[in-house]
Amino acid sequence: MTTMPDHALLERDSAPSAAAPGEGTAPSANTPGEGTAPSANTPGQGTAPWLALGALGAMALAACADGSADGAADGAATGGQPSGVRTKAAEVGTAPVFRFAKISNGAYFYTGNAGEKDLVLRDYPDFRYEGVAFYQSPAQTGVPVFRFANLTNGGYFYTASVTERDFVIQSRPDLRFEGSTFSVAQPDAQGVSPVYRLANLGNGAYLFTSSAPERDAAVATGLWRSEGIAFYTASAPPPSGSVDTDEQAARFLLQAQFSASDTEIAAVRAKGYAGWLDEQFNAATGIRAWDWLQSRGYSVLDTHNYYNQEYPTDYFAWHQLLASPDGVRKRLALALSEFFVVSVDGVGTAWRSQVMATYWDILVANAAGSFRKLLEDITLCVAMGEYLNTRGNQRENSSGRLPDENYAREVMQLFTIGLYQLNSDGTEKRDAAGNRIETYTQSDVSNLARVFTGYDIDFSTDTQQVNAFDDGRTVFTTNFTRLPMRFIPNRHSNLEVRFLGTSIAASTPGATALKTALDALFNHPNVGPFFGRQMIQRLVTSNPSPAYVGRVAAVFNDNGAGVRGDLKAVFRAILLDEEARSSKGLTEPGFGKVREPMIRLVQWARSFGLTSASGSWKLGDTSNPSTRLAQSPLRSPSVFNFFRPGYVPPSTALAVAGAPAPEFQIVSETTVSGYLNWIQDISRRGIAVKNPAVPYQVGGGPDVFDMQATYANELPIAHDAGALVRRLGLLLCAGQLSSATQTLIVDALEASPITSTSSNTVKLDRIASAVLLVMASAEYLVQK
Amino acid sequence: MHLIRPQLHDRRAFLRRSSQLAMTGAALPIALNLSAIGQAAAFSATDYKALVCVFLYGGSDYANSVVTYDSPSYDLYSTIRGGGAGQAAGGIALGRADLAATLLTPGAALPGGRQYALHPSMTGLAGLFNSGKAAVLLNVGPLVVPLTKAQYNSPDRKLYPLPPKLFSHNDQQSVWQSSSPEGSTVGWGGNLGDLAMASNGNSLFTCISATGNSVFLVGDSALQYQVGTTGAVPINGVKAAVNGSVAVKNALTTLIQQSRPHTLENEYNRVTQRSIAAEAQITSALAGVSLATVFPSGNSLADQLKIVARLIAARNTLGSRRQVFLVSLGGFDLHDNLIAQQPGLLSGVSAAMTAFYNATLEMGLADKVTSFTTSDFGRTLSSNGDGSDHGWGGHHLIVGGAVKGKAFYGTPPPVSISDTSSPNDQWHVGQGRLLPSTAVDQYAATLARWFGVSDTEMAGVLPNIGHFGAAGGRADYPTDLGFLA
Repeated sequence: MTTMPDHALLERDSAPSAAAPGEGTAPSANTPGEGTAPSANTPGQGTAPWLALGALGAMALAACADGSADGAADGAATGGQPSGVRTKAAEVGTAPVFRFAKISNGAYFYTGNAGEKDLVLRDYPDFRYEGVAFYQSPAQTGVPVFRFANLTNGGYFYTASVTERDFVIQSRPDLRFEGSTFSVAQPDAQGVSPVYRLANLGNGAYLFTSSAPERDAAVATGLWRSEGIAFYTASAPPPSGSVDTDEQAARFLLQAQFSASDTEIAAVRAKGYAGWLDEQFNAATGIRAWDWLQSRGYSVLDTHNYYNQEYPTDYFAWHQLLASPDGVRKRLALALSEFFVVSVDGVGTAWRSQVMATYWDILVANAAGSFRKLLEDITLCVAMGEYLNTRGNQRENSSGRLPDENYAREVMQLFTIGLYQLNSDGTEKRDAAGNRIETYTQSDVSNLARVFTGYDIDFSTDTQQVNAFDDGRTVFTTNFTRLPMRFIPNRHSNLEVRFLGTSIAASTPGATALKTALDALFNHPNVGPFFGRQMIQRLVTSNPSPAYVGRVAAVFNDNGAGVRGDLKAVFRAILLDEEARSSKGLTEPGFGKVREPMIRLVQWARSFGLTSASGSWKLGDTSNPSTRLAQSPLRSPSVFNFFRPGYVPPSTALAVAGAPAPEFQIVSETTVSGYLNWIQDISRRGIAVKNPAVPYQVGGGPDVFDMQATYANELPIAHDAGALVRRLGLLLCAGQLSSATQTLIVDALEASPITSTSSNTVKLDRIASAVLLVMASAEYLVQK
Repeated sequence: MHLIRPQLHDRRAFLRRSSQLAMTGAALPIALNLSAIGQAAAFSATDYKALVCVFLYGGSDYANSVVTYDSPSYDLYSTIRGGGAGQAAGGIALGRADLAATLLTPGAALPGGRQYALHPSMTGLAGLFNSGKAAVLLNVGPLVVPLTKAQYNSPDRKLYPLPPKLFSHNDQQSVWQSSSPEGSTVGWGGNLGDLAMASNGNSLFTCISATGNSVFLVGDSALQYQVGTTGAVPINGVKAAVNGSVAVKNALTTLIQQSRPHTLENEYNRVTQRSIAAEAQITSALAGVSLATVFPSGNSLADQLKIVARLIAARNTLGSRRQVFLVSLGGFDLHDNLIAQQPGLLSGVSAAMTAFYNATLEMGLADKVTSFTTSDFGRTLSSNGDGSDHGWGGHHLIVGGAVKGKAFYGTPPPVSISDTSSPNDQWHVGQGRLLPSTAVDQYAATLARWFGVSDTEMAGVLPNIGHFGAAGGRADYPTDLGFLA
């Protein structure tokens, strides 16, 4: 078998330039690297009349007249492959074959070598990258495809037929033989599909496509002749290959959800990343937060005045995060709660915890749904209405009152488009002078504010109750907390609205105006990269490459079925992306992110079987930076979240590089200490509560350790420090502890020798020490 | 051409500043180092001085904090804010009679009979003003260059540049603190720290935040040290055996401070290293402090100012001579419930700052400690029914024994929301969003000069200061506003 030089294309550098018609041919709108799907392109577009290669065309057609299946079979036979031992399982490709179009004359180039693809992208501006054409099969079992360079037009010819190859070598000096390139599927392998060959009647270029519609469209142009089946392609491989190790599975789990259990690691290995993830998107959700509050008695008007309390919010939030079965959905909802931020501190209505529960339930319900629906549900929920003042917002009047601008501004700045116009890869656009380009002006804010007038809480299904326990105040029942705000037409501004190039005519009905406005925001090209980048930051890495953002944004823009804003597809793209999955991230000094403190707590609890013995889950606000986590779910200090996506930690190597590390905004001399002290405490004793038997808060009384980790799976191996540390290293940080750190921890643990028959007290001391050391290590704190 | 010059806030700027120092003739060692610069500059003083920035997060409503009081101006205010008949409260307007107790009585009356009162809940600060220990700076906000309304409306942004991202919370916070929008990594408090740190026994204690991380206190070299309201937080696991094991304690101590090849890991451990080293010093120094001044309880700003006062009290033990502190209070973004929420917030500010002043008096340092308020932005003068929206300029307070108090600085803005060519409509850019007549840079430069920054050093601290003052051809926008002795 001929060995291809890695950079064959480089070697034949003179051919394309000699052949290129080149003059003044502008690159098409599709720049290399945008990953345009092949089928979206019209083959031959931009093809100039060129040297007719009648001889080759005729020959090739003749050689393949009875179908290239022959050619492929021929290749297999003469290639001496062990054809008799092929598996009959559905054949899955090992890697993509990439397609490039030569912009100047419409010839095509295919390569299965990712390095060569990158080289062409970098050094050959005349070749436009058109994405994955089809898939390679393993060289050992597949059929080799031979490549010829056309010295006249700079295009390429491929064949899987040895006969045809030899014929071309003998008769066509203008086609330089470049050896075998990628391999394709055996024609009789299971689950394979044909790749069609077309010849350009004008310039002798060849197009290979696995899309019958593309083939037909090409023929319909009259410029291309179908030449039948060239060879066969295996089906697409799982996006990031198989899951080979427990560490890989754990790494994925810790990005996709909070924790990794033995059974989950096994399930990911068995089902693959995508298979497991898709299953989780459809998994049953646990009890909803609003229902849990009701089930715990928090929706009743009694002496505890729950309607006026924030602490039930903490309890339901922790219960949802620590105890619910659907970890993926809750993890994504938590990430969304840091984007569409509402904090219970800023919700002033009665039954504010029920209002917050509905907000949370909306995030959970839409986490794998539609961004557009989520945007509308969030806009109209009472929690956001309270937080950013859409509730009670009124039209302008003659005495100078103007609509409240808060939501109009933040829905643009924070929830959809951001401050600056973005390229599709999330980098900022620049004007001719090199300045960033703002997305909106104060006038856009003032205009959009009119759309959000006329909304208020919908008490229509509630009754008033007299609160005998609190000065006889009247309090509505709780139905309104589950309803979207109602629209009150005479409070709505009827002025014309002009914002971001969209106009809404004067006196447009409120619902229509809202739909138009949210559609305009949703369809703004910034949303995909703006939202996608921040979700990558929450789940995977603080500094995603523009290409990664671009891939995720492309999925936001179109999930492959023409749907925009499909969050399931977006999160799948984030988690399955090569940049998230590649082992390169394990060694790059800038990859990853600081684990958020609240997620560390949830991970610890879920990893080691924490439950609330009483079922009351009375874990409160953990915001205190000196004694807790400097962070607590649904308690951001402002709508700008606990940290900003662009936060660059000053006075660090990151500042020199200009690299954001958002979570560092809550890393300080105080918070590092507060975290360590609390983890040391709770890892051994559990979480202390006053009187867990009752749902309400109790000021005094003894500490009861109602929420404790069981360490059920760690106790049996506690006597084996090495095994214990390996296990914690896997569950807590996907095996990312260095051997030096493992040794340091093991040695410290072994300083207090114990045996398998030692008491549980002694074993729990060791386990808690091991947990503390792992969770204190920088290798754990930075998730990679 | 006028440009914002955030590039001055980077390491090259440090070198540039150094060369500026060199041009003044100060002897510099060949191997440039900060302590040498500090000693060569004005900070060789042996006395103590501190600046305390009180940041009111959310954008404080200027119109109800420093309230226009003379009858004609009050009537305009009341009409715009929906006040009641007979100068009574109504809408989001405060009642005039309620302001009498907090009326500010400057030594020299303002022109045109203008008068102001503080919000009725701000009795402590009104008292400090009237006793000469506090001043009010009117209509201050970020400016790149002095601007008229016509210039603001001009399309020529090269000649008349605007501060970036006006009206946006996070960006305007950053602009106030660093002259640049979010993402900036060096602030003017930190730049003061760069110059001051060599004066201090432990340079880490130059820039101290008693609230969260923010860009204000970060310099080219000066770090922001964060302290809890009860002092530095010790890490229990490095102080005593962990779960009965000294070996675990020792391993923890190593693990959390070791240098790492991974950038994020290494920076995290650097913070922990600092935490451990500083805690030992702070805890020991604070142990010797006793302050009799009572700070109000249940007041988070007071809690922060109390630890600041205690750290100042420990200055000799810590070897501190020049310090910059940051404290903050949130909740000022009152689009709604302005009338209901302001009393709690502003009485908290007033009580906390008053107690802090009293603590400096107790320490005999009243004229060595200056505190001053800042905020994201002022708000609209117009009402949205129940509150006000994001604005630009606002009024701020400076408190301390060195303050030339019982006085207003800056220019009283006309009370107006209308948009005509009348002179009264030239100092707002719509809905009473004030066009600042004094720049944050002028405010900061005045504080910096008192702190010890020389004219030649000023551009390194405040990159845009050259656009103001006589040297910038704008004597009408002086770089020393004169409110500090």
